[in-house]
Amino acid sequence: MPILSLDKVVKRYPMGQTEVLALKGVSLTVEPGELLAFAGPSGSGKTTLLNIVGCLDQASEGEVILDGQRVNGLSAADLGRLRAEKVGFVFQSFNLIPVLSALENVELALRLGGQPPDRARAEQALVDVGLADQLHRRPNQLSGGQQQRVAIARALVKAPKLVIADEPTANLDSVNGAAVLDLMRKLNEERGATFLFSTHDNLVLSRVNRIVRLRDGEIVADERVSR
Amino acid sequence: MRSSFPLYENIAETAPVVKAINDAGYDAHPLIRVGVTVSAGEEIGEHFGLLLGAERSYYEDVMNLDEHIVEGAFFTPGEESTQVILGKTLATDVGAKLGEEVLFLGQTQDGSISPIKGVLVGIVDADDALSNRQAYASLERLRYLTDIPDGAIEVAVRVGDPARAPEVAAVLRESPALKPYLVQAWSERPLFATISDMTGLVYGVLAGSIVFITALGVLNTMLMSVLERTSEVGVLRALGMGRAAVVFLFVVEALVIGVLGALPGVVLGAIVSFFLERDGVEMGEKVSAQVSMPISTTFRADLSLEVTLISFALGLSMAALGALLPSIRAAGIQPVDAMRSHR
Repeated sequence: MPILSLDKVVKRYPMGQTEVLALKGVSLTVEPGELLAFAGPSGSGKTTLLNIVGCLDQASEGEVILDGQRVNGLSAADLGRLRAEKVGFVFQSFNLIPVLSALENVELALRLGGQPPDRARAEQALVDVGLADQLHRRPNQLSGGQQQRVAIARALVKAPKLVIADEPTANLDSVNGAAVLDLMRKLNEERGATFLFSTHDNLVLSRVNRIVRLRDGEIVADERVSR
Repeated sequence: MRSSFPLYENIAETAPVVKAINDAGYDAHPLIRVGVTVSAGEEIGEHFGLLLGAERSYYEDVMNLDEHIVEGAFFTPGEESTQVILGKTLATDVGAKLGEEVLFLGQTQDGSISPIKGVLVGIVDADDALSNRQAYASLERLRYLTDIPDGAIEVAVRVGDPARAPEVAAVLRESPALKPYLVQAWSERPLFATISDMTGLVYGVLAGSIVFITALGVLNTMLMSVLERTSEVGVLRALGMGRAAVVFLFVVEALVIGVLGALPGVVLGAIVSFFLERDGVEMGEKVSAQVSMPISTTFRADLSLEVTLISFALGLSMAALGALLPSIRAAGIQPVDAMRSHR
């Protein structure tokens, strides 16, 4: 069973008196364990598509099925529960909670995912991303690369079916960007979690197994890459 | 207890009144207080003042006048009828010196002009402006001046606890000997009631203004604190936190901040109020210069548990309210839009 299925998904945004069509009937199927990147120039609809897939936004038309569950028409509370249980997020600007330590940020994701507090598991998630000695530091005491690693640990600690990463290397230098991508690829291989990226960074494209190219809200190419 | 002005509506015979009050278990002091012109020497004076006539026991036990003598001495026993004491302000205005004769020009109960003289033996500096603008003589001299040979304008009843005055007044009203007269507690007298109402209004406006400004400050601080963290709300919502949980989180945080702020505030306020209540701040005689009542010129705080608790609760409520409104708004924004506000 595919982890994600999109059928003729349309997204419209109101803009003043008119409407902007951000997605024009996107159809796509993603199998479990894929490492997929949505590529395309700015305004192509990458982030909009990721937001809909990640249950952060709703499609205007079409059908979205995540892990066998139809997402369309779910209430905000149900979408929240779905996000908490099945989706992990890695944001472009890290979006860690500034007053919490690295460990607490990871623990928070566990709690919000409806799982019992488990400090050992949160610690292990940070050890897995190479931050064993940074557990109790706050985000402002960490470098950009380290913050993004904490964000990855936060996304993966609850063992989600789907990890969504919106331009995960955009705020990192090339060395840290490569390290973060290698880490995500390793976790994808070891844990079998499905990763969806949005990017126009070649560094990302060089590490994924499938590239879906978007232009003006439509899929223009869907390439599978063997590594 | 008093009969009302004009002077002819006096208590013609105070003896049965005093006896009735004594029988009820309270001290009674006949008083005559009249408006007079005051001058040092033979000339009729241009200075108006109040002249009080009372028994020595009233001056000593109730007014403690003997303890406030700043020049000269208190009445000489047995010679009260020839002596007068002036308040400091009046003495300065009139220019009277110790040992000089002071002339008071008043009126009898039927309206005739009536003078009395007395030797100035002492000058008092009391706690209130009215006492310093008064002159003091014996009850006998005032009875002579007003031509009320056995009576008084009013009979003061001393009650240990001032708060019990209305209760005592109610008891005395039932006494047959006091039925013809108006019996009022100090707090029921029209002038006091008016001043009390005005004071209450002034305090109310002052307290209201302080509360309003403080509340606005707290409200604004919490409002900004939550609005600045809208992106944080977006992250929490993206991670799966429900709207109600977001609101709850911010309100609890505001309450904790409120307690941390309000506790030291209340303690500090209580300490300042304690010293203000004990020692007070002297405001000067001008504060009560236009008031015909012995009002203290020392400003004092009134520290009470009730006000302290209300202040504390109000601080917390404002903090919670300040967090509630923006957090409801922030929790209602789509997570994506909330996070975008950070970028």
